Amino acid sequence: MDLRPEAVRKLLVHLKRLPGIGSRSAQRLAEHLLTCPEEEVEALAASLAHLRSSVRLCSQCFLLTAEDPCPVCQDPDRDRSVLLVVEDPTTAWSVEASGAYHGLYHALLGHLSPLHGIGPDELTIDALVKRVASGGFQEVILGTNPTVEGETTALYIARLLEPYNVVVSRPASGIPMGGDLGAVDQVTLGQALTLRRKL
Amino acid sequence: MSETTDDAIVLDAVPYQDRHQIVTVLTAQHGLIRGVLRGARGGKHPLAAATQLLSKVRLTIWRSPNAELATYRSIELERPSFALAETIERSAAASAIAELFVTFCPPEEAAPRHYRLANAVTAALLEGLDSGALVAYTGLWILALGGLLPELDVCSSCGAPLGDTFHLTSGEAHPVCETCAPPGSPLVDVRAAAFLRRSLSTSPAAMAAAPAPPGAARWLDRLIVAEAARRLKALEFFRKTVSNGR
Repeated sequence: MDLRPEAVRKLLVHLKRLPGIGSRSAQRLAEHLLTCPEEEVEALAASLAHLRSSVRLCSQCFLLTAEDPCPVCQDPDRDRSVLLVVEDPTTAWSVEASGAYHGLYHALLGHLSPLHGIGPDELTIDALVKRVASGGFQEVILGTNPTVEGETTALYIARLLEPYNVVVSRPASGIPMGGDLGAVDQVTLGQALTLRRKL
Repeated sequence: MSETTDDAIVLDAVPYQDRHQIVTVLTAQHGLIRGVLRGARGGKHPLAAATQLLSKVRLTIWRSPNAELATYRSIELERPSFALAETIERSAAASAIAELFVTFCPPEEAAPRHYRLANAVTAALLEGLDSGALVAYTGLWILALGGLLPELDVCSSCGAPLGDTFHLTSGEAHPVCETCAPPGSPLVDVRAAAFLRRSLSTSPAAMAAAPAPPGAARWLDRLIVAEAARRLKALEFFRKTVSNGR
């Protein structure tokens, strides 16, 4: 006999649909929600209900934002001569956390994947080219992922940006900080040695 | 199948759950297989480099009876494919070639000739040989191995030997002689016909030393799309990329 009340069973079904949550994790989360202070559960429910209605894509850079244009596009202190192109809007969160970048962003909302029917029209490439064509940028950093498809996307965009007077660059790739050379895969290691720098 | 080890060419990899990938491979001995590679998602993992398009890998494959997907218990990268991303044409060709194998290679059936074709074409593509010729070569052989390539030496209508050029029937685009050709039917010219015939007895590396004649690629695309009975988006993207690059 299943002793779990229907509300708990429903919650488990929804929790298990979340990435990285299996049956046991879902049960642990449900137990926590049943035993923690009620205000916490209400706050969580309210933030979940509010999430989809309050977050949208910035109409200029396609980052996730509560206001349009997003705070980055509105910020007069950002370096408006540099544009970092990323595949996913959430990648910008990690870049911001690094504190090493102060320019503007453009999220493609994916990468070219002809095998899966994702061509240039399914991404925000047209909007990117229009932004660059409108002038003001001196450098466009193509921060797509270092996969064959990510590299293809970068090459495709680089070709489209050829007519404009901008430097097109890629982030460096190689061994992660704090990494162990012996544990790095052969492709990354080869790339790191090819792109070595002089001390 | 219980546990087995095999060489394979990676044809596709899609995310599965939070940390895994479903990887489609063409193996040397067991044909086209779809399976789960646990922990392959995310660039931090060494496995991520092994599941790139057209990488050559050595896999340990395990399948429980009645399971829809195999499980890859180990994967070793034998020949990386990152050099394919050095030019947009080569990279688009890699997608088009992978799409041809996924579309026409029968799943779960031993297909050693398909594997040898994939291996040789990928090696030639990595060498930087002409990507258009290699896509055409792959298309021709994929059709031939599937028994879908019409005779190139005899008229499909009257059986008479064909000359240096041939016409095409309007519907199926099969080769016909001048006498049997319907009025206004397209002509496959001397260069295109020679490329197609020579490809059936020559290595991909030798055929891709020069670009494929446009007539050969056009005819093959027509046949391929007709046999697949659907749009081949990676092939379309490749054609668009090549024409934009000119």
